[in-house]
Amino acid sequence: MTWILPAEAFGLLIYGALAAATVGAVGLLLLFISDVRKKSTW
Amino acid sequence: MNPQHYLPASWGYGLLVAFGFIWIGLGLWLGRRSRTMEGFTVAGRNVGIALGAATTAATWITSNTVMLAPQFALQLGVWGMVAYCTASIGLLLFAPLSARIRDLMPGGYTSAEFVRLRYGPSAHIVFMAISLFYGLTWLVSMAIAGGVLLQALAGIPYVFGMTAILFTCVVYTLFGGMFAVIGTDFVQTVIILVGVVVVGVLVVDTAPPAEIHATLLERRPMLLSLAFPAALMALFNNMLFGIGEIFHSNVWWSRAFAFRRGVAAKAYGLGALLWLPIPVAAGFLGLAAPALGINVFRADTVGPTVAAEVLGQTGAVVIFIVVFCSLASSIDSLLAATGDLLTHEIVKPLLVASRRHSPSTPDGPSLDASLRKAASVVIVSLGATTWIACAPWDQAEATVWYEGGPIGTLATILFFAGPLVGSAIAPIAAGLYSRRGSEVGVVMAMVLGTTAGLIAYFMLGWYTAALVGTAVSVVVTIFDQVLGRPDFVWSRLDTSERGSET
Repeated sequence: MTWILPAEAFGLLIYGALAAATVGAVGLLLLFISDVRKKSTW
Repeated sequence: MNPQHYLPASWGYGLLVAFGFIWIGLGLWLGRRSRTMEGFTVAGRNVGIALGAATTAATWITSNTVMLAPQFALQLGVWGMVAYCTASIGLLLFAPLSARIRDLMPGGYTSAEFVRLRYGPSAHIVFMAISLFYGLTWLVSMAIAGGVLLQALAGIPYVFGMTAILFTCVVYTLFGGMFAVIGTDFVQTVIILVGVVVVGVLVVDTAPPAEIHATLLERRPMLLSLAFPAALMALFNNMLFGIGEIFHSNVWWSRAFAFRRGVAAKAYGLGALLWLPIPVAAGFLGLAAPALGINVFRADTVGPTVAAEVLGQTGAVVIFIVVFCSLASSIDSLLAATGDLLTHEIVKPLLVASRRHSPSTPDGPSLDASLRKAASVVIVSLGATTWIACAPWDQAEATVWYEGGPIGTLATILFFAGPLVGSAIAPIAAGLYSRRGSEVGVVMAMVLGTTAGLIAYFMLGWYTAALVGTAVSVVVTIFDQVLGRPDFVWSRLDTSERGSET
C-alpha cells in the first residue's frame, strides 16, 4: 500500500516554508535594529 | 558561455571579486576589536540575540543545504526535504545545553577543554581525534564544494574558485576572528533567506504546488510517498548525525561561549527556527523540475538548473550569491573553531610549558599576546593545509568526487564522520548534567560507538552509520552512568579568574 501526500499538505509545506523564511528574514532585521537601539549587539 | 553553465564566466568573476572585497572589508572593520584572545576567539563573550541567532543559522546553512536539499528531494522525494529539516533538531536540543555550557564554563574556549576538565586526558585525546577529523573533513569538503559549484555555475576553473573562496575566508577570519565571523554571518543569513524566498516565490508563480503535485503523481508518485523506506532511514540518520555534529563540535561550543549570559539558549532556538524552512524552500526546486519539463542532467545542480530556467540569468545570479554566502558562512566558522581547538588545546600547553622552562623577561610578550600570534599562524596553516588537500584534484576528479555515489560522494564522505560524532552525543550530554561518568566509560563509549558505526557504514550502508554509532555509545554511557559515582565537582569546569579563585 502506498500512502501519498495529499496535494493540500504538499502546498501547505511549500507555502509554509516560503512564508516562514520571509518572516525569519524580516524578524531578524527587526531584532537587529532593536539590538542596535539598545546598544546590545555585542 | 558554455551552455552547461548558468552564468557567463565574466559575471562569475565579477561577483566573486565583489563579494570577496565586501567580506574582507566587513571582516576587517568588525574585527578591529579582536586584539586580545578573548576578543579574537569568543568576541568578548557579549554577543546579542540578533547576531547570535543569525550566526547559528548561517553556519548551519552550508552549500549542502541549498544544493543538496533539492537533490535529496529529486531522489528521495518529500521525505528527502523533510529529512534535511530534521538537522534543525540538533540546534533546538543544543539550545538548553548552550545555556548550561555558558553557566558552567564562563571562562571556557573549546569543547575539548570541557572533555579534558570533565573526564580527563585519555578522553580528551579521543575527543580531539574525532573533532579534528570531523572539522578537517567538513572544511576540505566545503572548499572542494566551493570550487566545483563555482565551476558548475559560472565556468570558473575549479582551482581558481576554490582558492578565491578559501583565501577570502582566511583573510577576514585571520584579522577579524570571531567578531568578523559572527558579523559577516548576519549579513550572509539575510542574503540567503531573501535569495531563497525570491527564487522560491518566482518558481511557485510559474509552477504552483498543485501543478507540481499533479505532475509528480502522474510521473513519479514514489516521490510523494509517505512510506519511502530509504528516505525514512535517511531521516533518522540525518537527525542523529546533525545532533552529533552540533553537540561535539567546537563550531557550536565557541558560539555558546561567545554569547552574552542569558542569550545562548534563545539564540540557538531562534537560529533553529530560521534554518528550519530552508531545506524545503530550496529543496522543492528539485520536485518542480518534472512539472516544469526541465531535463536534469546533474542531480547535484538541480536547484540552479530550475532557478536559471525559470528566472533566466537573474535567477542564476541569485543562486550564485546564495551559494557563495552559504560556503563562506561555514568555511569561516570552521577555520575559527578548528583553529581555536588547535591553539587552545595543543599550542597553549606547549607555550605554557616552554615559559615554565625558560621564563621570559618582564618586558617580553604576555601569554595572551603570544597566543594571539599563534592563533594567526594556526589559521593561515589551516587554510594552507586545506588548499593543499583540495588543489591537487583536477576539475574532473573533484566533480566526480562531488557527484559520485548514490547521493553524492560529498554526502557519503561526510556521513563517514557520522558514527564518530554520533558516539560523542551521549558522553557530552551526560557530562553536562550528571556528576557520574568515568574517563574509561567515556573513552569506551566513543571508541565502541565509532567502531560499530563504521562497521555498519561498510556492511549496511552510509544511512545507518550514525544510527548504529549513537546507539552503541548511548548503551555504554548508560552502563557507565549506572555504575559510576556522583563525585564530579562542577566548579572544576570554571576556569575564569573568578572560578580559579574559589
